[in-house]
Amino acid sequence: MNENPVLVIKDLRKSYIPGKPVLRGIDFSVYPGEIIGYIGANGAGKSTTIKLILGLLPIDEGEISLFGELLDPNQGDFKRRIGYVPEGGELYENLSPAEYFDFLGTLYELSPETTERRAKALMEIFDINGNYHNRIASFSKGMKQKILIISSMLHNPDILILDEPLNGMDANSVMIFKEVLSTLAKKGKTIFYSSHIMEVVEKISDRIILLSDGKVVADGSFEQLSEQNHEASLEGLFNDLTGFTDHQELAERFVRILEEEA
Amino acid sequence: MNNRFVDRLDFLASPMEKMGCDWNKVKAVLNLQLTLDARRKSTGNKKKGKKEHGIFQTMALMYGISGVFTALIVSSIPDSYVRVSLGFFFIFLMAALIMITDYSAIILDKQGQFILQTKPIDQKSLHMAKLLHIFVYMGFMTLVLGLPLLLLEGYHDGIQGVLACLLAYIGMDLITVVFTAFLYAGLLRVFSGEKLRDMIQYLQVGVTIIMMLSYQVFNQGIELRGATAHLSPAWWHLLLPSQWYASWMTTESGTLPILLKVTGFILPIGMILLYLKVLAPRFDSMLSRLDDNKEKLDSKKLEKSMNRQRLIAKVFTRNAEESAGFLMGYRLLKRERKIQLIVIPQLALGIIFPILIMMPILMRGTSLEQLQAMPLYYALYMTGFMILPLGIYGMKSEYFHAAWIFNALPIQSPNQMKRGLMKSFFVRYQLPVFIVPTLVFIGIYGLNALDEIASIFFLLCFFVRLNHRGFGSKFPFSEDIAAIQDNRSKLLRMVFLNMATITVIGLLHAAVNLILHASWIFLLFSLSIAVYAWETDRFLKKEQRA
Repeated sequence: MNENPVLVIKDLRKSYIPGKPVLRGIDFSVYPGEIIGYIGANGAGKSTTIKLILGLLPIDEGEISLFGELLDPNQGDFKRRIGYVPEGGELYENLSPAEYFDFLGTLYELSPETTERRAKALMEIFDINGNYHNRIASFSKGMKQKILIISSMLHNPDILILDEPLNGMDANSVMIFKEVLSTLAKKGKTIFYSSHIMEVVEKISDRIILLSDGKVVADGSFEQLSEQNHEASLEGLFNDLTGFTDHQELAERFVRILEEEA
Repeated sequence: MNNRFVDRLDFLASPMEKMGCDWNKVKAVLNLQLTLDARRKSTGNKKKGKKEHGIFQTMALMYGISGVFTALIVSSIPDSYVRVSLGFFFIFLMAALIMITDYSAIILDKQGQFILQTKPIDQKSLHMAKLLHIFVYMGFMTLVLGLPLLLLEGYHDGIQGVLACLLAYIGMDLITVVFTAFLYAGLLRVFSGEKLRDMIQYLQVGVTIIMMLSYQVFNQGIELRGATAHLSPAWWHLLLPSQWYASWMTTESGTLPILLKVTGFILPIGMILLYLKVLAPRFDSMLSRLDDNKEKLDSKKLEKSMNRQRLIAKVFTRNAEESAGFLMGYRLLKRERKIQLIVIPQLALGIIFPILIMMPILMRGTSLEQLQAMPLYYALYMTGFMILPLGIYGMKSEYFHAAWIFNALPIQSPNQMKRGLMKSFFVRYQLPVFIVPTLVFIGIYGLNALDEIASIFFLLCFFVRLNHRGFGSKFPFSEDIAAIQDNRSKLLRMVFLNMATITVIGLLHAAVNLILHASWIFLLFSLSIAVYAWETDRFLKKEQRA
């Protein structure tokens, strides 16, 4: 890695309630062309990190640098190079994709023609063309998710921050999307991928960062990590590193309760 | 609203079982729905130490106040028959309004239906629970609404008045609920998907406007003629449910009053039976048409209209961010149904208000010359009271959760975008409402008063901008439209503030004209502050400007 990192996080700390830190000193650097699988149990601090990178929350301690510059939340310009899909991200469903993309395009300083050309072509690839002027409210969950994904890429960003981006999408579109991500990475774009679905993260990412209790507990490629910890799957690895071992016993108890007499 | 209340309905158990419903399950669902209703809270900013009420309580309070006003308005009428005729008519209208605005959601609810349908409960019981839910609610609200009138009647006419009221409320509730269901069934047959939702929306807005206007007109009418009014039962009263029940209070005899009384019994019972036999078994499957979106859209036409909107945005805005806000607002506002439901009736009232003010004068048979001698166009300021603060609804949305997008976008100045939105709100809603009465007055007064009327017009435009001080949020469409409670108290504060400021300005305006005869200077002044206010953020609060 001789290139300059696109994202550097140094000793990042954050707490919403004083004395109860969510992030307890996080360090990592991300380089162009990397697909990072950012994982952790519920409440481990994944979303908080993402919000801090986008400048949505004030930083308590530590620093974040994007594209070689210290992050300034008061300045919006850096967002021009970021694409973001939030978990369960909602849309103004009373608008049509045409109108929603038009709004985004204006703010990304794309011409209406460029916006329309790109949006229509991308929708065609995802097999939802013909809905360009329908209200988003009438779309299925998967269709909405596709609109979210297109929204995050319309301006050809350098970093993609994706939080559970596959929510509700059909298998074919998922395959296209994964392919798109690896192609983008080859072209030097950075992808920051957060999800609870370990199978996908394992396949898609070339580096995994595991967060537990507000700290980075593992950082490396899947191969490296599985060798170190003698685990064949990311799921096992995840359970190991978050200190969770009694799932079998709990499952058995669950079933036993159902079998008790009514 | 707790278990005990539902347990009191146990007397319905045997007729329900006879109809094939599982009463225990009906009760369970009803219980759940009522609990949910009572807990549905305003989701706005929670202030510490402020007692929180559910939306239900807020609504009950509102209808209670309307009920008191209704009773007060009709209390000046000495004739019992006229009094209950008008009182029942108001309550009937209000009940229709409550049904159509508040409880359409229950009739048309598919989400809850969907969840419950996966549980072992039959369609019939489920539908019955839904129906009972609506009746319990309507019954309660009508009681709150009608109690003042009931007490008034009790005072005037004793037990007969009280019984007439009770009968009227029950009958009118039944008719409203069943009639609405039939009406929706009719709409469901003709329309589908978003179009259907739009039609329901028009219906709601229509009923609300009729309601507000008749309130105003009747109020004026009673003030003018109330003391001497007399009414006899007429054949057309058969078409008006409120008259069926009012007929209990008439002193006249003959077949017509008897016919009216009988209709008041037979029709509601007939309608509910018809509903249960014919409509209820089909209604829920008809609801699936709500999600049926097979509209064929003409994309060429839509693209043209998008381009036209871009042109409008160019006229009214200065930079990309402002124009993005403008276009978003322009397109969203015509589809945000809840915003429209609140805003459009207010706008209608704003248009009609100055004309209403002139009504008593016109009814006295004033000639055009006499009219022209009076500066009635000052009533234009009245329009302002209602219309000015409405822009705050542009900050709200049914889909306020989607506001995350603003944080992900490279926005340099949120204020630019907000101003763009406010401009679109102004252009779409407020401007037309200012223009209509303004034109009416220009029509009446001709060019003589043009300078004055124009001054008022520009001042109103200035005040619209000044009202943006009250809008807290950073981004448009980022607050929950369902937070009714917050909306109303804030709006009320703003209305009063407007009244105070506008009164001062109006007096100043009159003084400048009368003393200095300087109406053209005033026009120039109002035009320039209007333009200036819209081009700067100076009139916003400091923290909003940051």
